[in-house]
Amino acid sequence: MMRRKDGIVFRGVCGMIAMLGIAAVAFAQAQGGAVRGNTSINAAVGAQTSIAVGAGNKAQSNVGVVKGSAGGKTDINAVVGNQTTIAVGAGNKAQGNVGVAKNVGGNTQINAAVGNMTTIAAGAGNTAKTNVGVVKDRSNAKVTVGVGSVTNVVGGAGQKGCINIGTKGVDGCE
Amino acid sequence: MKYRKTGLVAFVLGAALSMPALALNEGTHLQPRGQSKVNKALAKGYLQSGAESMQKQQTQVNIGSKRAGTCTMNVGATQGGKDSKETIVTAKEIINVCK
Repeated sequence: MMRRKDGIVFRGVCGMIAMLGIAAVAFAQAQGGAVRGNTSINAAVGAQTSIAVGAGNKAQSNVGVVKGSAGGKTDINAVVGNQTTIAVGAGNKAQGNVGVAKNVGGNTQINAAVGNMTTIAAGAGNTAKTNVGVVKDRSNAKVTVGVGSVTNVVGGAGQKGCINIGTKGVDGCE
Repeated sequence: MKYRKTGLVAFVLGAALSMPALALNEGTHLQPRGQSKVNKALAKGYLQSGAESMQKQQTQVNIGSKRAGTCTMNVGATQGGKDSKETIVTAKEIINVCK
C-alpha cells in the first residue's frame, strides 16, 4: 500500500517538474517593470494552448512578451506554429500575445512569425484579443510580422473582439 | 463479403467527397454558420474592390457585432510619432468575428 502511494507521489512530482519545464520553454515572458538594461527574447513554440472555463476568468497565451522596462534595447524574436486560446464563461477574456512590448524604454525591434493563431471568447461581456508584433505606448520601433492564419472570435452580449498585427501605439480594445 | 466490400467503397467515396468542404474550412476553426458569414463578407469585398485588389491584400475579414460591442482589426497601424521606424506585415488570412 505504502509502495503504491509512494509511486503515485513520485509520478505527481515528476509531472509537476515536466509541466514547469514546458511552461518555461513555452512562455518567454518578462513582466512587471523589473527588467533593466538590454532585453533580448528569442522564443520558438511549436504548439501552445490555453483554455479557461468559468465566469470572470482569463485565458492568456504569451510568447515573446515584455511588459515594463527601465530603458535599454529590447529585441524580441518570437516564432509560433499553432497557438489556441479559449475562454468560456461570462465576463471572461481570451488573449493571445506573440511578440509584444509594453512600456519599454529604448530602441525596440520585434520579429514575429505565426502559422495558425486562434483566440475565442464565448460568454456575455467578454473579450477576445489577438496581438502579434505589437508595441504599446511607443512608436519608435521596428516591427516585422508574418502571419499565416489568424482567427479571433467573440460571442455574447457586450463583447469586444480585437486584432492588432504589426501595430505601434494603437490598440482597438482600449 | 460482397456487402462488406460495397460498404468499404461507399465509405471511401464519402470521405473523398467530404474532403473539399473540410479543406475549405481548414485553418479557420469556424462552424459552417460562422464560415458562411466569412464567405459573405469575402464576396462583398470582391464585389466592392475587385478580385485583383482582394488578392493583393490576401484575406482580411472583419465581421462586426449587431449588439453594442466593438469589433476592431488593426494591421500595420502606427500612432503618429516623431521618429517612427518601419513596420512590415505579411498576412495570409486574418479573421475577426464578433457575434
